[in-house]
Amino acid sequence: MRNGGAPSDTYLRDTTWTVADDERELCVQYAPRIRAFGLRHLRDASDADDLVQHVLLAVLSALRAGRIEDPSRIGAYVIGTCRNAVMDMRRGVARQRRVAERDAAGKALGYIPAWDAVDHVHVERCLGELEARDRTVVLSSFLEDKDADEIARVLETTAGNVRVIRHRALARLHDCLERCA
Amino acid sequence: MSHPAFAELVELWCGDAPDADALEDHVFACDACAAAYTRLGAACEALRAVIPPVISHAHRDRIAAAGARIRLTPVDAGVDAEAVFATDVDLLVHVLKNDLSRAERVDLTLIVGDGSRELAFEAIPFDARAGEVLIACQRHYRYTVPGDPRFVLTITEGGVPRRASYFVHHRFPDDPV
Repeated sequence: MRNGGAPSDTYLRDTTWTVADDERELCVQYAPRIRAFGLRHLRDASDADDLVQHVLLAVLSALRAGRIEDPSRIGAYVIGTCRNAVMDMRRGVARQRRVAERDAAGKALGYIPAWDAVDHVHVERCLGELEARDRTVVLSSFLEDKDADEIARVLETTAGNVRVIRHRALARLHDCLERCA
Repeated sequence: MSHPAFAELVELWCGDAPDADALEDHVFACDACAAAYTRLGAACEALRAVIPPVISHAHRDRIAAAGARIRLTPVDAGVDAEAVFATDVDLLVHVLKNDLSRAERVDLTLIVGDGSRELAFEAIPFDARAGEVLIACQRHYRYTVPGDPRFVLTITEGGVPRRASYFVHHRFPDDPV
């Protein structure tokens, strides 16, 4: 299953492939992006983990019940489910639902890969290797939640320049973290 | 939609992407972009959790609210101070005191103990009313930043910079005296 292809495509081609294999592959493929979506929208790791659980259960249930009309567009179905779940979580609805789902979660939970957390000492070391301005932009963006306009005012530059500094700094940080890993 | 560039993914993570929904639709349908999106997400998650050497008062409050045991050490410019990293302390916060009531901007240079390395921080957070800059000192700095660092603030008022230097001697209870 690649590039959003449906698990059932594989299932139809390979007779040794089982539904459980299909579901496991779907979970392994989509869990990281659902969690990343959760981190971006909910800004909390445990809420992001809850989102993974909730969305995968919903998608697997829909697949089993044949409610996904076009399995080749499973990615669109997953992100639609993510958006609805995030809205529910913000309204506090999902938290109550998750308690009821906890027992049913066992199977999907078993398919979800462990997350590779980035070592915070590596992050500190890589931040230390950045130029002062790059470090300021990165820390202001991620720890102080300042947008490009605010940072630009403080550093007496333009928001466009801040965006360029930010993505170049993150690319350097990213490379440094990959080296550390 | 074509594959987004790294810069577009950064804008997405920073909330600046003009068409975030379309970008995320693509990311969910494309394995290569999903891998880049999730790797960047892991780095962003780690960045949000990091405690940098200089923190805002709001950040200090968030750390305290999360349950960390913080010991504050007030430090005046030009007067050596001592901070004890006792076993019941999670984080030392050195409170660098100065008159910042007219400060437009404060920069920090952290000079490591043996003087071999300097780390510069531009436009750092400060509390003008309290006259404070907060330095967060973590236990593992004992090994990653050996020696007692010196902190030099450059305080800009009316476009004119002035400097103030601070020194904190760190002591660990399990150190030989």
